Amino acid sequence: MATAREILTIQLGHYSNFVGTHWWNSQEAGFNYSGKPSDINHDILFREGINSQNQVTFTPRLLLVDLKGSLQHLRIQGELYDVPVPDVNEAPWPTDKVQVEVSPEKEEKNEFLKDVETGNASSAGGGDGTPKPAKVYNLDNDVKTWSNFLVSRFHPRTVLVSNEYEHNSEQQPFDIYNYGTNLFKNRDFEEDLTDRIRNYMEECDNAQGFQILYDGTDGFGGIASSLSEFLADEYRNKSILAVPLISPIGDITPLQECVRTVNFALSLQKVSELVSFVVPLGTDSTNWRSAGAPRTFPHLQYNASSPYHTSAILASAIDTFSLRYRLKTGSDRMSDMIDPMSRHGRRVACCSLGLPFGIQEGGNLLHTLETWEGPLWTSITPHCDPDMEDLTKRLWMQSVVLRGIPQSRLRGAVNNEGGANPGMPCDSPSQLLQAYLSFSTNGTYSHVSSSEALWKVKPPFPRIFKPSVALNGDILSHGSRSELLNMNEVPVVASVNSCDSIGVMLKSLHSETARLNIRRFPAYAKAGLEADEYEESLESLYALAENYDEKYEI
Amino acid sequence: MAAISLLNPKAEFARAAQALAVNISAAKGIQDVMKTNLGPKGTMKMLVSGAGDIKITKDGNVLLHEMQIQHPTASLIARASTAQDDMTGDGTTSTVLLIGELMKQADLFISEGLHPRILTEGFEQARKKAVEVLDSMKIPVEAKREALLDIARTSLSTKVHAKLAVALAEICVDAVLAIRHDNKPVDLHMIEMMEMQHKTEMETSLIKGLVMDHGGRHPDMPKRVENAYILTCNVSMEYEKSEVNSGFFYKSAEEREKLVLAEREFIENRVKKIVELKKKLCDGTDKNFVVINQKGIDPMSLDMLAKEGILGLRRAKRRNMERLALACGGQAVNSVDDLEESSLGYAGLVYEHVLGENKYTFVEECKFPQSVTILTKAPNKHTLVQVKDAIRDGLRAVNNTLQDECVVPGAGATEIAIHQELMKYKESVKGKARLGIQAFAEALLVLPKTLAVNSGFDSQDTIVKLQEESVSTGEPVGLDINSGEVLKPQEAGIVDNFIVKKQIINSCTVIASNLLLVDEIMRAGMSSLKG
Repeated sequence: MATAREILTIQLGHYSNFVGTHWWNSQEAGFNYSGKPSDINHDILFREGINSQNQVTFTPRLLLVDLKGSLQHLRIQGELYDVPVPDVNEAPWPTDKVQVEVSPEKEEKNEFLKDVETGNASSAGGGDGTPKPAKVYNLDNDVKTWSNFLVSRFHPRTVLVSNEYEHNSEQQPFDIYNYGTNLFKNRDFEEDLTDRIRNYMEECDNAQGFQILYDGTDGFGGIASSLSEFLADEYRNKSILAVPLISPIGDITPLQECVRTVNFALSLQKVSELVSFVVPLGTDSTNWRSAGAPRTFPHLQYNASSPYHTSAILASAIDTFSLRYRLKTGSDRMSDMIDPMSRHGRRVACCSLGLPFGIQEGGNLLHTLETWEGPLWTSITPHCDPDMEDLTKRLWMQSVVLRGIPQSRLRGAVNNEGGANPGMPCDSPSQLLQAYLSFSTNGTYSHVSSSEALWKVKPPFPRIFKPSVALNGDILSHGSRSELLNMNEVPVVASVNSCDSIGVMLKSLHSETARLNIRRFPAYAKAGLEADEYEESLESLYALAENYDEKYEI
Repeated sequence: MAAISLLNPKAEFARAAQALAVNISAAKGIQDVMKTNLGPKGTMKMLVSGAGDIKITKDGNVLLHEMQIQHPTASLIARASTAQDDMTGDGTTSTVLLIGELMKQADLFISEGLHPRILTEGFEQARKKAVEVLDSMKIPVEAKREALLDIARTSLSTKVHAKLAVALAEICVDAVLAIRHDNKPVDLHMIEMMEMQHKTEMETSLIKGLVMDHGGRHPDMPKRVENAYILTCNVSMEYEKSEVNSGFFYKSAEEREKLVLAEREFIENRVKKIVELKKKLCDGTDKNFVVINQKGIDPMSLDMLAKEGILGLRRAKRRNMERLALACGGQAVNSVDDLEESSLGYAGLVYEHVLGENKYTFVEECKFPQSVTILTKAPNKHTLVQVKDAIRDGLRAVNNTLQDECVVPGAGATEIAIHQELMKYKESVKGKARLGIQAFAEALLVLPKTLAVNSGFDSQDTIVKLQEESVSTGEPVGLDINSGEVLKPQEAGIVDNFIVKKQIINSCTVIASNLLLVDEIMRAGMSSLKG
């Protein structure tokens, strides 16, 4: 049977596209045209095609939606399938009757993109064969939109821009959940969107399903809800993994903070009813209304208010945990990860990330785990703090992926300790980590997979690693890496887990939104949200939270 | 100081004369932008995005959607005009022009001290009269091809160049007539629009059948079949692992294997049923079999179909299910149990066309197609979009005529006639309201004037010529945009939709009156939410 196992990825919203851009960039950086083939099956997330010049293309199997004005220098059609620029003289109307209106701001490309275009950026080795040091970029101030650091090139079917709303508009912001649901009712928009999905799915022989990344805090939450409804109906047997993203809050008024929270609650409730599995992600520890302290990672220093930085962290998590169903070895599908975890109506899960997985320079996995102190990873789902060691908390199930630790670094030279160490009989990184987790958790079922593929963090990945992280992701015991060099790759560990702190998160989301009087936000009523509907939605949210209460478990 | 600033110190406001000036200048501004695009001789606008994506159009509705309009008044007018498009599919540029002109004319009187309220009362009276006059100018039409061609051509020639307009007019009329039966209202969605980036826009054509943007996904499937039964279905022929995996249905690996096999067999049986039907109906005859499925078909099922010489298409558009039934006959089935010949459709010819990585399947030579496809061709994306927008408007124009059962003379003739009637009517009205009627009548002339200017003639010359001719003959006369002379629109085949004109007169009056009566514009400060 064909093993294509295709997945269609859908990105809804500007922040989702930030995350997606990092994700696709790093995946493409990992393409290996020579040497040992990677153990990731890229045919799952990418598609092969032929353009009009009969060249073979390999582009992300991706559909993304954004608002007018957010693309800047990126062309909607992409460049791969470009036909020669039309000659005005061939135009079928009298040329003296054409008036040209160029949109006001012609966007300047930043230094990095210019280099990508001319082919200088990735050349670690120059044309003369001598390796010259790669250029170091600092894009922190240059990146305004995701297209500023996009390296991947897209199929013409990929980018869908809504003309109804404008990006960052003050006059008519796209900030209400129902604006999204209303936009989906617009026949042209809906047809365009669903038809592109159909075109992608028609190509697939054996699709696993969909991954939907969406901005949960604005109108895109509404689009995600409506789209989930469509997918659940039209592609009934496919798995759908939704990842609601919480963008950094930025400088907004208290009223807008409430609106963000309400949007998130509405979309999370609706989406979780329709899709197979939901993993909300964000880099703040708490987020309803006002943002709490940003999550801390032992080896990272990042700017918590920068979408460019935070999205890179989230992309690392998504790529890593999704490896479980994207490996060449093994035949796990999305449903193998999702179905066991989503029992008892626990369709929401949280995610934790160890970026980088802190293995000492020259060290091995066994030694690292033996001497590990503190948690293995940091939670990146707001309000969720699963703690393996706290016996009063429950962590039912987790799906863990460890990447970038080759077989050769499993353990040191076999010494005479013999069979005393339970890690000794393990002969793969996944088995070893599995053994470690079974000792350090309390009644948790852990599934561990591993991949040798490291996570590529070359530019345009932001420079967020502390100086103690070496270029290959190892932790230096002393000294620091040169600031003049670009990071290359890091090992990462990520886990998706089902635990009782999700119930806590959902309940806090419920109580935050339930105390708001929706009538104080006329924009919702105007966009068609009835007060009863709102209340009903919150009740369902509470019911969802109760699924995580063990009192009710049979 | 306005009261609002006590409540919200951040609010911005403009009062009385200032407020009116804001509205009038905005209306004039948007009129200036759009006026060069009116009529068959109007110019095109090429919109270039920051990234170099281009769009070339003269369709008012498209322009208003694409241009970034910041001014609140201007965007109000733009929205009124897109509403016009939603309702009738035409007349957007005229709406913008007329609102602008009404405001301009009103400005003259208001600056002389006339109260806006009196002016708007005059507008209202004038509007009623104008609609009466329009009613009297109706030319009844029957649903004949020639009559409909005129209306389609007039509408299309304001969107695309003349040669293309003629070709598209025929396509639009034939398409609507093909799906129209027994004088029932036409559902334009039964005309599928398919696009191919290929050749030139002159090759756009009407297919009496259906074109789908996908093909058989198996190398051994036939690329061309004749005399074919069409089975339209919504049945999954795709084996799903998830259903077995998600439960604790098995005790051992063998048992699981068994379940997987059973599941697989379940799907296989569905395909077998189709194959059986095919064998029963086609074997030994020259007939063929085509399956068009809304759900997926996996490689193994495709293989089974291909072995029998059946062409199988998967993931068809949901709406195509309905269209297929109308085009080929038969009906879409939701289950393959009890399949019968009566639920199958028929097509004389089904073939595949490959263009790069895209495949197209044509279903043609249907017996009584009640659903057709307009296949748009063009060398590049922006031309495709342009042609598609034009076709949509052309179809609407034809459909409007069928509903109205009448048309009105075009080429500026109605405006000239209404103007003259209003000037007569003015004499019979007492009081200052007659000034409003006068302003309204003058404003209407903006359409023939702009038409003349865009065709390279002098606007005063033209208007005088037209008015003289109109008075002397007593018939509606319009402008010949090629010679600058007078012509009889009906004879020249230049006719407009009644509903479009009526809608323009009604909505423009309402919007202009509303804008004139504004005496204070407030914009709440940034601290509050804008809904």
